[in-house]
Amino acid sequence: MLLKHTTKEIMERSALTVNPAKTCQPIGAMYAALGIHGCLPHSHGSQGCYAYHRSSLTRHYKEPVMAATSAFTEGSSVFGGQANLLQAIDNMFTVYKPDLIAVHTTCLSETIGDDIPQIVNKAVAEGKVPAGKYVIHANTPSYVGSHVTGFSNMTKAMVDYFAETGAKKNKTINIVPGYVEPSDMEEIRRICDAMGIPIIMFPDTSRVLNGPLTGRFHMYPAGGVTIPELRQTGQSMGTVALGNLASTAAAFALDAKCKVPYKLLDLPIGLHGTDMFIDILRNIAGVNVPDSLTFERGQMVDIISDMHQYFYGKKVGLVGDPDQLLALTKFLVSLDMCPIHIVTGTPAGKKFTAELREATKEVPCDVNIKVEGDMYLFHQLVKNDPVDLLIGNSYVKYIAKDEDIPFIRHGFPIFDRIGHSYLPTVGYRGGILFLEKILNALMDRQDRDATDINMELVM
Amino acid sequence: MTGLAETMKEKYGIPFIRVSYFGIEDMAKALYDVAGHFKEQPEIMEKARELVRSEVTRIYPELQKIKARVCGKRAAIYVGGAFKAFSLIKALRYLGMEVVLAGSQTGNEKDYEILRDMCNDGTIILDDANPLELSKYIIEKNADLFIGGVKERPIAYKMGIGFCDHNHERKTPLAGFEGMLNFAEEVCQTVTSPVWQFAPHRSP
Ligand code: SF4
Repeated sequence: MLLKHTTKEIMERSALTVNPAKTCQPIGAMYAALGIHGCLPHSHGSQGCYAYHRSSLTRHYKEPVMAATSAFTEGSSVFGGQANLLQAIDNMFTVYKPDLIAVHTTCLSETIGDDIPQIVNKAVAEGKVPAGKYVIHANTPSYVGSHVTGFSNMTKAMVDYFAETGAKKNKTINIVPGYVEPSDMEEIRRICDAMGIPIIMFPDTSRVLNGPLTGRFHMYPAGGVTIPELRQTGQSMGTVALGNLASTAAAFALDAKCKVPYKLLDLPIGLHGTDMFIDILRNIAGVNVPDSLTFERGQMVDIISDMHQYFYGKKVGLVGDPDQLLALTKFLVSLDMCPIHIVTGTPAGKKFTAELREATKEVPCDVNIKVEGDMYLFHQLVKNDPVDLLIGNSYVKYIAKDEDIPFIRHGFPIFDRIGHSYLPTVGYRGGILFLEKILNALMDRQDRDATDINMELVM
Repeated sequence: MTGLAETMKEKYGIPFIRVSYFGIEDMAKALYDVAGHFKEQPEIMEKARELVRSEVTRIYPELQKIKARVCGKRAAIYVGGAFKAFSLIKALRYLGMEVVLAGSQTGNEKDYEILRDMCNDGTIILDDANPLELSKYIIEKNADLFIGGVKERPIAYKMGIGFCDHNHERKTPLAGFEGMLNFAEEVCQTVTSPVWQFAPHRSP
């Protein structure tokens, strides 16, 4: 019992987080930056932050994660990291030859107050940025928000630095996919392809963090949105932003900068979520939904109908990122399941809490929603009102083990299983995969607990 | 660690010796060195000898089996401290493997002198290398195994070669005699894995 000290009794805590249900801004910024082709993310701070962020991403994706650091010393911690960043920019372009460098800050450089654009301008003035190469930046102080905020900030930076207004609009639609897995981005693209809609997706980490074994190490893998594409986002006919917290900032900035209108949707998880996404695409692009997608949809409905009695009334505890939680909660409710504990460590605001309340208002049980809660509280909630299924990142496995509850891994980080980078959760196909996961978890438990007499062969 | 030991010697006059617990050779030497320090108690040396003998006898047969499978395979080592690299080189040699690349992040002049003395002429020695250099030389030297840190694991796999890591969070120890056996098993598992035949540059 690794968590044996977690008490059932819940005490009001105002200034203490135990086992956070989030991680820090730069991880999200680094992840987003890896979704630009030929980009080298750069962490402006000390080496420890960077090593932690790189290790986390490396372990989650089991892929090489390339990034650089300003490697602050005591001196730079006091006097600022200008000299370090200038030299780093020079080194990176000389040694690693990226198309662009995406600088994000850390707690330390934010506290010092380093002015990144000013330092970058100096680097340009000193000829340290070769012609046709770029340095972009996002401020990512970790005492604000979470990794989702960092992701959002870096995605917005792509708009701020590159989007250009054109004389006429193109037929493309921009997709801001939100903080989802490379597999999800791939699936979103597949759906758009099936509908015959040309898209620009940013960021796009597919084929960067889920690439094949090629026998060679590539510093800059094949995938990622390109700089010319980012420029053209300003000439698209519209933007679809998936997930409020991760994607609105970029979509809004693009609207303000280049007058590209945007539609904000939930992540396309589950039947309804995917329907909404496809419907919006259909509307903006003026196309029909192809039979292939209608067919997939039918398959998903078929599975749900075949198995609906296994979902009915099952209580679920979820912990993770806001955009994911909202979409998943709606999905679970639509399956007749009861999400009763919903916790995120990310400060997602009152509106988010209200949306979750709305999504769960038909659930016939008490529903605990804690926005800015931690894993400790989540565990306490589960102790007080046990559930049939847990959904969360790898850290939830300790709770699942102690409380002996079936558990599905979803979110960030997942250090101990594979699949998330290759198999999507979004779309109808992703939905089918997720249904399979839920059913496997529940049915494995039923089989395990069955007596000799009530063991079911046919389920 | 050496810094701490030095300070303790300075402040409290407590003597120290630098040892490594990695690999049979160094582990045995560590025990002998410690025993040797207590000259007036020769029975300690006796016991150290006894311990080394019984431990080595215990793991020897298994190690020989592994050696037969990995003998002649080529290894690249890139670790934090050079001291660790020394032990790794000896341990790999013990298994009949060839070290084709050795390097560290923090080694000093003296470390590299030792490293150069330890290695063959053809071995590439790298100081504070970057992933591009590492991958270039690993391919060039046709290494079968890469020993490095957490973040290097996927790099090795992308190139289609085995990997063994040396990080602080491991739950299976690599230190001591038992650790040598774990290490050898890990190395053997990874370098002899059939998956590498599917790596593009290796398939015929
Ligand atoms: S919270 Fe701040 S100090 Fe800690 S790893 Fe993140 S950026 Fe670095």
